Order: sequence, then structure tokens, then C-alpha cells
Amino acid sequence: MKLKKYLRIWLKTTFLSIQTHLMTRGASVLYILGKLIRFSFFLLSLLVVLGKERSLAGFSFHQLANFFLVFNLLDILGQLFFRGIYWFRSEVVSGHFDLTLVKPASPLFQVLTVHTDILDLPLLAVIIWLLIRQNLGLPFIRLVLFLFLILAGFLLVTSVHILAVAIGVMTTEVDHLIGIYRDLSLLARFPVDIYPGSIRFLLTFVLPVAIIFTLPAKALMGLLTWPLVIYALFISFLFFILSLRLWRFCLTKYSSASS
Amino acid sequence: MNSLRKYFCLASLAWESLFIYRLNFFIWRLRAVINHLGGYFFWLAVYRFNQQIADYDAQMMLTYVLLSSFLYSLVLISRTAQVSGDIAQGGLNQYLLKPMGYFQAVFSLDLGDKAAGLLFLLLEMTVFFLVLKPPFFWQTNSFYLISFLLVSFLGMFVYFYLSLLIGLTAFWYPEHGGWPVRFLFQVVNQFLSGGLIPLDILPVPVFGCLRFLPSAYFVFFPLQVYLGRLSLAEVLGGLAVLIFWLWFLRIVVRLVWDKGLKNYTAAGR
Repeated sequence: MKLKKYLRIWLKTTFLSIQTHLMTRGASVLYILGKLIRFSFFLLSLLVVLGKERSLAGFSFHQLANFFLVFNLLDILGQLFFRGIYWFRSEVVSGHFDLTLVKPASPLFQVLTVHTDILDLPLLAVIIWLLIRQNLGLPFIRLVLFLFLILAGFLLVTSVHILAVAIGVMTTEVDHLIGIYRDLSLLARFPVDIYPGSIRFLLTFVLPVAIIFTLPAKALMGLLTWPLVIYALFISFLFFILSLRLWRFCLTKYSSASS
Repeated sequence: MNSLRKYFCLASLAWESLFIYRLNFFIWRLRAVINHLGGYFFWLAVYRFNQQIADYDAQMMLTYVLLSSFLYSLVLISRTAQVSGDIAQGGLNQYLLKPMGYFQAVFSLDLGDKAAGLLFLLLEMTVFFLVLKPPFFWQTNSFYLISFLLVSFLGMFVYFYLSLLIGLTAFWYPEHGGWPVRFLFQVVNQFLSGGLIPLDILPVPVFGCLRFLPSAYFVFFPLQVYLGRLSLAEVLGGLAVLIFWLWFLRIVVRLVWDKGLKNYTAAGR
């Protein structure tokens, strides 16, 4: 019943987002074009630098392309569903967040999903098509493992966004936190194996960027050990629970400024 | 002299305003450091497994990557990104009413930002060199060093006018504060300037076309000069292309500005 209610809310906000984008069609076309061009230029650069015959940390171009595509897949899923948090700072600063709190639905759900960025859909379609094309004939067990780790990765992406809005309630610093997360996640466009040990450790065990982006790609290519899979699933759930707790705690500190 | 003083005041205001919100400033620099480190380690890894990429060895390429941070701060950090917002939201009024030129005002603000960006980049790079000791190519030939500085500064002016031109499109297309056009420009410019990879790694016919575009003179060309990869004739040829673009864009910007002002409705004010 609850699920149905939230699905209806999400569909409504998504419909409103589509209407907003349709009002400024020219801008929407330019954004979509920009995203597609940026993706193409990066893939082209990778192809030119590494070509078909070179390798990077033992990974072939085919494998690196998989890492890059999985990175983009999860990055875009985060932006597609949670773009709304870029508006959260102004909600808190202006006191409009009060209006969210009094509505009969989870404020966290409202904050995270207030704007679905449908402009990411064309690029998402391109990435999924390329991933399928790259991995035709994938063994069933690998596919299942890959999908599991994509879900774990998405749970972590969700947790990072919850952490950002939780800290945002107290400090009003949302944009910068998400900015830092996005910069750090850019390091995971390639397998974290290419970085020195200290940075690799940081990206795997402290900031779980490697778990979000690198492990699903490794699962796809059959390069993952079971202990790492279990670790990834455990960390994802742990981060999610901790971020929810932090959100609840930070909500008690909301001062309703300016309202 | 008096007219210069007001622009100097604007530049110092831009400098000071960066330090009002210190956390913002700190995070701006932190993000820059993360990006620089990401690029550096990527290329380091590439060369750990490959001796040569096109005709760049590890030292040449890492010098290219590290110095591109300098050119990013000098050339590509620019207040011209706010021009479209000024036009779309009516903020231009406050400049039009004051006894100062709009372009000069934006350029003065630009200089304040660039000075802060370059100073902190210098500090970060000092730490970076002390800790990581990267294989850097130190150019000792004074001709290449002077030419590098000259083309970098000319590139800065060319970028200023090109970016200004992009901002002026908001006179006719103010949707989303002119941001969609700028987004597209930034995406294309990042690649065409050589910010992702050196342009001469690309197939010869593609490079042959791209080398004459203004973007190639923001990062790629100055770095080719610094690395001593060009002959005297090629440096002079590049300088001629730069001067042409500077002259051409200056005229176009002036024409577009005059036409755009007639279209300006001061919406939002």
C-alpha cells in the first residue's frame, strides 16, 4: 500500500519534470546533445590513447570500456533519480523545507525524488545498448552477480545522496558535498587497480567509490572473488542503514531558518 | 589613470570575495586537487604499461598534464560564464548604469579570480612536487619559455572573447540563464583545447583541421611550445593564427554586443 503511494508520488513528480523540460525544448535538446558529445569524446580519447593493442594495468581496451560503461551507468542512474537534491540547499536556506515536512509522505523520499532528470535517458539507452553489445554471450551466473552488484552500487549511490542531504540540513552544504563525491567518483571511471596502494585502499575501504563502480564491472568480466562480493553487499547495507540514521538525527537539528 | 583604478578595485574585490566564504574556497581547491591527481595517476598508470603513446614518452605526457592545470587556471577560469546570466536575469543593468565598460569590468573580475587560482595552484603544485616528485620536463631554452608565456597570455585573451561571445547569445536565447549553450560550449571546448588528450595524437586529417580552431590555442598549442616540439616557423605561424583569432573575435563580439543591446529588455529587473 505504502509502495503504491510512493510510486504514485514518483510518477507525479516525474510527469511534472517532463512537462518542465518540454516547456524549454531547445534547452533540453542542447543538454542531451552536450551529454552525448561529452560521453563520445571521452570514449574516443580512451580509444585513441589505448587503442586495441595496448593495455592499462593489465586490462585490455575491451575491459576498460566495460569499466567506463558501468561507471556511466551508475553515475547516470544517480543523477536520473536524485537530481532534485541540487535544489535542496535553497529549500533549507529559505525555510521552504517546512512545507516538505508537513506533507503526509517521507520527507527524505520527497527531497531525493523531487526532480527526475529525464534528459539522462538518451545517454542511458546508449550505455545499456553498448554494454549488451560488449557482453553478448555472458554466462548466466555472471549476469546475476553483475545485477546484484549494480543494485548494491545503486544502494550506495542512494546512501551518498542521503548523507549529503542529512549534512545539508545542518550545514546547508549540499552542492559541494555532492561535487566532491562526483569528483571522487570520476577516479573510478577506470579500475581502481591503476592507482597507488594508498589511494586504492582509500577508494575501496574508506570512501566506497570502488565498490560502487569497479566491482560490478569486475563481476561482469568474471574478475571477482566471493569474499569481495560479500564485502560489497555488507558495506552497501551498512552504509545505507548508517545514512538513514544520520538523516533522522540531522532532521532533529533542523532549525527552520527564515520561515 | 583614474579609469584604470576603478578596474583595479574590481579585480581586488573579486580576489577578496573569494575569501569571504572560506569553506567554499577550500572545497573549490580540494575539488581542483582531486581532478589534478586523477589525471596525473591515470597517465602514470598508462605509462607504467606502455613506453610510448604516439610520440610522447612518460615525461613529456606528464609535463603536458601538469602544465595543463596551469593553463586551466590562467586561460579557462573566467567570469565570462556569468555574462549570459547577467543578460538573462537583468543583472546587466547595474553595469550599464555605471561609468565603466562592461567588457573591462568582466575582465577585471576575471583577473582577480585568475590571480587567486594561480597563487593557490602554485602552492598545491609545490606540495605535489615535493611529495610525489613527478618526472617533469624543465624547459631551459629561453625562446620556448618566452614564447610559451606569450602564447598563453594571448590564448587567455582569445578565450575571453570567445567565451564572451557565447555569453552574448543570451540576448536572443535566455532560456535557463543561457546555461545550455555554455554547457555545450564547455563540453566541446574541453576536447578541442587538448584538455583531455594532446590533439596531435588524433588521426592526422582530424588534427589538421582542429589545429586552426581557436580552442587549440588554449591548452594544446602553448604546451607544444613549452615542450619544444615546434620549430621557429611553427611557433611564428601559431602566433599569427592566434593574433588573427584575437582580431576577428574582438570585432565579432563588438558587433554582436551592439546588436544584442538593441534586443535587451532587462527582463527580471
